[in-house]
Amino acid sequence: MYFFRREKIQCRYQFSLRDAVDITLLQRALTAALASAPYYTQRLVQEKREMWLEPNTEPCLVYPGSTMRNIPEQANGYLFCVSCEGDTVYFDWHHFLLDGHGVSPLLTSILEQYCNLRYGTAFAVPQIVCDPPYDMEAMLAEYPPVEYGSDVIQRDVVQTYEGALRRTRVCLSKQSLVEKALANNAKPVSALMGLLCMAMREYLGKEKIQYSYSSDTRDVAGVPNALYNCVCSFGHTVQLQAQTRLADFVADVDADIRRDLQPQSKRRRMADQMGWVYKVNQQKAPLRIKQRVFQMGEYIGGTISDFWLSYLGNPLMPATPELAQYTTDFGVWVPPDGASVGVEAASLNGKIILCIHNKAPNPGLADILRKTFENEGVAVLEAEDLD
Amino acid sequence: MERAEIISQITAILEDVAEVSPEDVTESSVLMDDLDLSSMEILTIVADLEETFGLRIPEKELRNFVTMGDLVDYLAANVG
Repeated sequence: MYFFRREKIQCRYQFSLRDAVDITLLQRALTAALASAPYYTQRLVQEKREMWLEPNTEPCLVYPGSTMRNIPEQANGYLFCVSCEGDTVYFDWHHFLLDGHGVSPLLTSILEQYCNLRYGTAFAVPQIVCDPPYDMEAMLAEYPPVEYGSDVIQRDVVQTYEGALRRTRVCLSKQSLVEKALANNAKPVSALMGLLCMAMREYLGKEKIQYSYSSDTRDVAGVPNALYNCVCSFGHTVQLQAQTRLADFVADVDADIRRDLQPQSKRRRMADQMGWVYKVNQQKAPLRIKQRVFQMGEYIGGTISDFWLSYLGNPLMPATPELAQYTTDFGVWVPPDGASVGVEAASLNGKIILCIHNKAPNPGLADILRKTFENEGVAVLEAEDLD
Repeated sequence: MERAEIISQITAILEDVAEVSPEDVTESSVLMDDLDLSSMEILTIVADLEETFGLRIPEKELRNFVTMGDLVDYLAANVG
């Protein structure tokens, strides 16, 4: 899916160590980790209209410095890149070969091997095995692709704003959000989604708001150990007016989300979305045309929305220093591709922190969010436009 | 750009992408029904037109492209 996006998505994880990083030892650690993890050594080959993955026989190097290199062009063909400067290890990766789940085992292994070499720890070198590709043909046989008819092509679509990226940070009392959700017999995420819809109605100046979110699909695709991207996204529309209150519509939002997350719904949605990617890939057209067709397909398929909401961080280890640091600046992460506004929500120390990337030109998002939350009785600890 | 030139470019793309014979195309041809184009083919044609004419067609315009004439009208109004 990410291969057909025109904007290349490169992500970065960075780890501050206790001491200055020894680049020679880090190189040895990387080499040792990769020796047991062949999936990560693949490179992308493109010839005319075809592309495929094959083993990369070039050395995988650790680079000095903190500058994010262009992947794969400046990384010896690898689809990730390790570098270091001072006490920090940087791990950059292209969202094409991997997703966040897929990255974690490798960077954990590299850091463990580094600790073995630097501090004499005794971490084993784990074999990192990737499940084979899921059976796309079987999925399409189960849920045959639906040809978009004129009714689909001719329906209204969300046209996103694509202006300069600006950031807004909002911090809520988690307790008050949970209480609001419970009072409406809804999941907290449903309440948050509804509140964001209300704020976006005012901010974007439109009564019909489309929101979206994604869900991991490794379980329903039968590939629990997949390192590659394995996800589907859902989008829904709410019709709101100035006087609409959360209680008027949050039950519908909650029902939609609960229904989406049923295994059959996720599998059907995955078949829809990956079926489209599959069809685009089969077109005899140059890559740039395929990328544009894919993009337009996302619009008419309803993937493109006014805003998306994503969870930020590891729910089992929510209060890492790196996550806390990220919420202060969130300068690099996944940009809000496919929406005017991207909202990442972290749960940290009793607070819900919303890290918002916004491509719409209108001013005053922080004030509107504060007013919306407070009018519904959700305590706002901070709301600030950062750019 | 002359309307005839736009029509000529579109019919060439139609022939290339969907093997539609230029003789079968008129301005009143309905893309999906008369020319039997799939949604994928329509999007590929639009992407090709963007490249050919050097413009970006907003996705919200897609819904207005019902007939060949709709495409010609849009390009005639938006190509310099």
